[in-house]
Amino acid sequence: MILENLKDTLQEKLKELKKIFGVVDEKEPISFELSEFMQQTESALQKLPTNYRELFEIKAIEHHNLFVGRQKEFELLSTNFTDWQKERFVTCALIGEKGGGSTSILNYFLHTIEDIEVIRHELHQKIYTENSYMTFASTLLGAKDINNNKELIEFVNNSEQRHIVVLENLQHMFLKRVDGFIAMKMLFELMSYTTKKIFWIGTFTPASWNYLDKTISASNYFTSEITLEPLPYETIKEIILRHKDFGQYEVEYLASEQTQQSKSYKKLSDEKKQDYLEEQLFKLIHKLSNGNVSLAKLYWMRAIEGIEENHLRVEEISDLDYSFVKNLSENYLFTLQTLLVHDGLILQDFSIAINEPQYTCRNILMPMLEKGLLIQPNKKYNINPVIYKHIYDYLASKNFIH
Amino acid sequence: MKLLFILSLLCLQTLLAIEIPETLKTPETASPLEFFSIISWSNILWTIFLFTISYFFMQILTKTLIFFAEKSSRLRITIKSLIPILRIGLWTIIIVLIIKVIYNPPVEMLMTALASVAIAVGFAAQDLLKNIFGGLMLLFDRPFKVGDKIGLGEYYGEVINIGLRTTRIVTDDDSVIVIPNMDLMNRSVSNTNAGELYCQVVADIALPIDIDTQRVRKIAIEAAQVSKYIYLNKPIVVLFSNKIYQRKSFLNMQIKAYVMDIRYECAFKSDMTEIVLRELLKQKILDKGDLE
Repeated sequence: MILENLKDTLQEKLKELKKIFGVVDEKEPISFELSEFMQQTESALQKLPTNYRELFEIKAIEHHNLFVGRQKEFELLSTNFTDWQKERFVTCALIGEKGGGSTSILNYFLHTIEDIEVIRHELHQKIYTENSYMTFASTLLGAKDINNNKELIEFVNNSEQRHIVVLENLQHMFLKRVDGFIAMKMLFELMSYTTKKIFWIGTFTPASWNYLDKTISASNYFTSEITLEPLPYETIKEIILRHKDFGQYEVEYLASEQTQQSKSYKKLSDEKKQDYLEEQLFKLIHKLSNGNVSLAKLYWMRAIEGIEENHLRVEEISDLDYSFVKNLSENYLFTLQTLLVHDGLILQDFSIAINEPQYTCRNILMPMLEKGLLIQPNKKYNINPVIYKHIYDYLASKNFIH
Repeated sequence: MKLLFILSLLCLQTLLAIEIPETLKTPETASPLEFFSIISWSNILWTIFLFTISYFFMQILTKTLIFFAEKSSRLRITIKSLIPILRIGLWTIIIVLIIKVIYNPPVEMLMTALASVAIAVGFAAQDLLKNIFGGLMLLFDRPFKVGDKIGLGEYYGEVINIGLRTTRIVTDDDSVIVIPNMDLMNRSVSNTNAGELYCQVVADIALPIDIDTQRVRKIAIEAAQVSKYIYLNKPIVVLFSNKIYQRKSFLNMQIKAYVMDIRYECAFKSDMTEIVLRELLKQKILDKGDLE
């Protein structure tokens, strides 16, 4: 009995040591911690009062005084617009991760524009055939009885008014199949011939942009590529605190039991303790969100323990174990590759992209959804934003994305 | 190469540093009886013990390195290529240490023994020596590394081990081929990826002579671009050539594209062929009758 216990203890210790040194001989299953994490986050959000939830809602910033950082990108956009007004050939591509602030920067930029009509559209569904492109483009530009791109180009060039056309999520204008780039190519053609009349701005996710640039040379059609880099720690902190101040909330940071036991923490005065906890929390939020505003807001809301009137109690949050990413099967990796390049796909499109029947695709996607690797907003399967960065880096290291 | 050179120098230095006992310091050659005097049961048992320990240590070291190599795509080939050099270096050190620590023979005796062994082995195992020298040359010259895909005559596969006598490759149909190093030194060897993770894959498709090559080229390029195995940092090339088979001309299309990992080479080739043919039939550029 004693020997058996000793054996078990030794085996446990050996496993721990193997994990520390990264020598794990057994493939660990995908942690259900991830799906639990998502559920906990969801229930944490439900507990919050509506006005606070709305304030921190994961959507683009519309209050212009909440817009922080991205000054360089904003100036680039403004310079491009000034150049276009001087009748120069200018088109802009805004490349940034989902939740990275591309819509917010566009909101901020467009509110500074006067005397010029803005046509803005956000793509959510795939447009990849000639017919769907023609319907989309002619509706967007208000053209009637148009049969081909040439007629559309003539229509735009014959109009007297000049426009700004903002197309968000242009990654939804192709599908990975033969002839799946036709809509994108036609849009690029339209852009190339109408720059005198239209200031074109398109947004892309980095994975889609890289793929499109290497397949159909997307960068040839945009004179300016504005890449949204991850935001630094200070900016993330400022954005969240500005949101908090906007709602006129007072914050109390709560220490975890582990922190309370720490000698260095005990030595601090009450005021210093709050500063210390604030710094620790924002450092972790910045690390977990990889400089992504939306994710940072999500982690902040998850950290809220409770709200009483204008008093917020914020507790420490813990990091997730992402090591399971390295143990994902080849099948999962190819699925994630396809979803990453397309920025999410509905079942039918996924089936076309991987050339498998829909029932096979459902059998691949559903377990991934259950395990929390994927999310499915509006019927579209997409990579869980919480693990997006880890998946992206891992796929890049394995040459799945370039 | 530098590592092996330094190791050889160290071994030589260790051997020369052997302290010769006064009794054995004679100008004459060592007597064969003295050779037996340094061999005892305890020495033999210690030798076996140390060899066994070294063998297991080497196995663990190799497996650990392979484990870490498999974890990193970028370093996979580099780490694996270091394993044979490390093994040979460590075995050399172990043998020198066993001779020095356990037997501690006088220099003359060592020289005599080495000369005798060299003559005997030289006569008896000429091919073996050729293979061993071939193996050493492979390590110095490095025409390929562990993890590369090489072709030698009818054999083509991924190098899984470079030993002193033989090199093992695993073919695409999962057969392990053992090639004597002498053959690798004397024949032409093609290396597909030369240390990189990606390599070029060529898919050949036979087409009717009067096919619309412009449209086919476009489809072929897109077929490669949309394949999940494609490595897009390298160009895709489509070439046509005229071939004659049974007095009938046909167009041979070659799609040259890079696969993201040499392990998916066959899958990529098949994927490109499948997509192109499916699309040619779907777009009615190719008729089923043309394929018969």
